Amino acid sequence: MERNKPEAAAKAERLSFFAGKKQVLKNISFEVNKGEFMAVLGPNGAGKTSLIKAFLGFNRPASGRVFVEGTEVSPKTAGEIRRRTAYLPQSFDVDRNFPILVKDVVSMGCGYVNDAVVKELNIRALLERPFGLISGGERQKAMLAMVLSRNPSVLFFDEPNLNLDPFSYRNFLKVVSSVYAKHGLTVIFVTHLVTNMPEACKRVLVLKEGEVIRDGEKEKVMSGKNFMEAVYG
Amino acid sequence: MAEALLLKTLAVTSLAGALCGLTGGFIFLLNIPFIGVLISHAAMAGGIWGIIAGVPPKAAAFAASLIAVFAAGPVSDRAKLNANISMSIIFSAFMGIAFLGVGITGGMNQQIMGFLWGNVLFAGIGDIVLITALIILTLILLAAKGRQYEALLFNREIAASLGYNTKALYYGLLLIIGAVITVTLDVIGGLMLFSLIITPPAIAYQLTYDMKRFFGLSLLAGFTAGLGGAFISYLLNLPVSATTVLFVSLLFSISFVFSPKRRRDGR
Repeated sequence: MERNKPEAAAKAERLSFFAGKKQVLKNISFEVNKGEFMAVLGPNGAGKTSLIKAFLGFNRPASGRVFVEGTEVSPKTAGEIRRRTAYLPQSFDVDRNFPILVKDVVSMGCGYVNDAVVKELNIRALLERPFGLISGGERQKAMLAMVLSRNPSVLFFDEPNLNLDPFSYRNFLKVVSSVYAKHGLTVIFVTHLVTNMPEACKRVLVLKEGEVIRDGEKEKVMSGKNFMEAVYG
Repeated sequence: MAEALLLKTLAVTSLAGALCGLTGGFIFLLNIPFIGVLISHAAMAGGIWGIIAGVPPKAAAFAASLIAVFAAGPVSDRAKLNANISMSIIFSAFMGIAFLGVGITGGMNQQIMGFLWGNVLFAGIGDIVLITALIILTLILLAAKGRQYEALLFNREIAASLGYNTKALYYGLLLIIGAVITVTLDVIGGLMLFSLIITPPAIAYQLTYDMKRFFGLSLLAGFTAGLGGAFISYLLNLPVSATTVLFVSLLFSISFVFSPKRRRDGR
């Protein structure tokens, strides 16, 4: 297990990844500092989800290395890294009649319902309800409670907007920003939405066709010349 | 003598029903119903070749069922196939192996037929002990790894992202399912087995949103089906497999009528 310099919460070092024969990530390098809130922005197919999954050990790099809090991600370390980080996937199908209650989802990661987190996210009224019957926004909150209950150090979000209407998404972004401020986490937030970025996000890394085309302060990156065309053109 | 036989039959069918209901809950929520057909036919193939090779048919049946389930997982993962499709492919292969054996032995003898239709009247105390031990083992597994299995059944990717070893959990489950089907197969037979694996969890699914209750209800429905089916068989002097399958189907119809989920959805 190789140790990287301690201040990086996450680091990609000349990372390349192939999905079948298609190269999805092309020799990319960057670091995310501890306590930083970074958005990974890019059009569909840019490699954003593949990048997150590399940090969690779901995708094995074709070349290059990835580190989480100094630990190189490998099949040996992936389990341990997943236990101290948290991941909210972009979407998943749950049958509305699937037999699981919100309280069971919330306690799935740590074995108990964390009262402080339940209070913070204001989901006490949902706990006894079937998970399949609550709204998309409520589901995202329940999932967030599930991962926060484990007290993670790094939180990965993958397109949390996908099952949400614009109003619910804006509310969810406020919750995310407040959680970030309160818990002092490192957040890596994948999205393709330029218009609705979390307020707490200070840095944006733009991926296009598997390459980092911009990386820097949110305002600077997004107000850059021909930004929209460069990203989505 | 007749009462002792009845009591033993009731004990075997109710316990087998409870065990099938309990493990069937996993099969139902993982949406792999074809595993019942796969394992029962693989076990039959193993049993036939056990008879040919002169090794205990039950041991050979168990070995074959393990090979079948442990082949199905990787075929599904590596070939990117739906689990039920990969099981169907392996099922066909085992059917070929089974009929090859039938051809060699010169036709279906009573022992071979037992794998298909079972022979609950000839079940012994050993079968009751084995079935009870498997119920206890499965309950221990649920108590020890319940949270992890809950996550696995909810969503495999989320379970993996929580740091749970989903492969070990999944294959551990397949091992238990293989053992359950092999142990109960020549007692209750393939038809009853398949029915008791799928219908009790389907009954429970109609009635609850809570996973713990789901497993409890599934176990209870299997137990009731086994007990009721055998008792009706005794009362009306009819084949136990047929009465049990029909009785559990009746239980499902009742659960469907009273299902809060169906009423909520307005179906």
